[in-house]
Amino acid sequence: MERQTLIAALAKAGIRPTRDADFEAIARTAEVLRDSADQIRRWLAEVDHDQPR
Amino acid sequence: MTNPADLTLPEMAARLRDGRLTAETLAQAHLDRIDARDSRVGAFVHVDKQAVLATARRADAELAQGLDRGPLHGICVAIKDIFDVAGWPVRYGSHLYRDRIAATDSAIVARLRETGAVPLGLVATYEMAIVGPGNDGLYPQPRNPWNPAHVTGGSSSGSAAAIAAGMVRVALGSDTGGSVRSPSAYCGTVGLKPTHDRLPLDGILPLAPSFDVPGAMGRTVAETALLYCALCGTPAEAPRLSLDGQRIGYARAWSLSPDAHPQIVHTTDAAASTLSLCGAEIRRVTLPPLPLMTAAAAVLIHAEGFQTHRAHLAGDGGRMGRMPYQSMAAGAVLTESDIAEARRAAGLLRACLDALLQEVDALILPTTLTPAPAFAEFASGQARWTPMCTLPFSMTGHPALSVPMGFSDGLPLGLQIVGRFDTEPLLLQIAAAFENATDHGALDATCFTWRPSPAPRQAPFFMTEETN
Repeated sequence: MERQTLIAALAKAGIRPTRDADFEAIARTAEVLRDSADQIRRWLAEVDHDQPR
Repeated sequence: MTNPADLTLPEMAARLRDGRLTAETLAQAHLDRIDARDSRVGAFVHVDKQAVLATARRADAELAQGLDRGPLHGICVAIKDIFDVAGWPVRYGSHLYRDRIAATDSAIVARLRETGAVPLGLVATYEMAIVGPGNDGLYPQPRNPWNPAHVTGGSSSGSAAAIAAGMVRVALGSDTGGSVRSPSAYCGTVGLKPTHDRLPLDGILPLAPSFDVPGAMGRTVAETALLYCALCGTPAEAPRLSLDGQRIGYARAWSLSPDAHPQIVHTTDAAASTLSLCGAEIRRVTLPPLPLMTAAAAVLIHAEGFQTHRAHLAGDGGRMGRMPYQSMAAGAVLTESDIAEARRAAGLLRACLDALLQEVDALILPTTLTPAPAFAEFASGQARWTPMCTLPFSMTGHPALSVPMGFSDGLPLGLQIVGRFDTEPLLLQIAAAFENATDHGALDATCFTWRPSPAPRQAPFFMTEETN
């Protein structure tokens, strides 16, 4: 996830990490969550594709 | 003569009624045990000895007057530091709440009082029941009684540690993603996460409301069942030990996850064999992929946790421990679409599990995929994923229980038993039969001389954080 995108998402919620270590850790977890969301999206697409029409 | 603190709950109950024991003597034995052992464990974060003894004396007086409130009457119960107990400093393990005093009892603690139980004290939680073990919360996290260089797991860290160290027989925990089951597995104790919505949450710090449940934790299955039945207000019956006619599905593939300790599959295979010898029919079953179920659960827990703690994150988050702050703030990146799709996936996965549970009466699989990690693995202060199989059933809401199933590297492992909604008695029956057929639960952490930790095994692959 790009730094500016993460900063914008946090700022939208009023969250402004002041420590680099916080920002880096949030970025790592955010990356896992984005991957998780993508994984779910792919699985749902497979489910929908396999549904009888 | 056996120390009263080492008696089982039924033994305590019998002696309280035949005059060989008083609730006050029993409470004092627990307090003495805490004095003797807790400096090495760090499970208890608040104990008011005079209040404990006063409550115990009231229990004695009631019994003397013929008022018998049931199996927990006069029995000590430890309370996780997120359940409100009127007048106690319930602070959620967080500097954010360092001066907080609970005004009233949580619904669960009120129920405990109705059963005549004696609240023994508050036991540690990972900060705000989110993530840990952090090193910057309100108090240090407990050490694993089997090896103090290792974590207890969490977030019901103090509950499991107190039971494993012989300081109490039963405790209240709570479970959002595995917070009752994983510390039970890591500490060699029993933990029951009931069906979602089975027990009231009033007066308990929320995290992710569609996941949160209060849970019962105990030294043995029978004792856990007594606590659970008391919380439900249902009559307590000793679980039957025969499994004749029960169909148990063994989801073996999850034991073979790439990040599983090699001992896990062998131990779980052995558990399946033992249950077969108890009379159950074991069937191999296939669950949806663990990474998919974990991904959906992680998205939803972070989305709900973010909403729950949003005001803190945007306001005084600087006073939170770094792990919970960082973990919850990351939920900001989830979009409405992400959350809606995760909810849809959760519904489909719940339906898969429901369909599977029409073919078998219960499922077995490991609780965690490794024994308890060492504190050293968290020395950086960063959260990290600890491989476990608990999150999926938190998301689907099915009841699940962890019971000791063996050891690896001198540390306990847990067998997870999952059932249809509202089948807690069956899970307790299966666990009781397994416990009766094995000796894992009979071993006592405090019988072993604590020794230096062996050189750390090659660390398994961690994603990023432990989410419970």
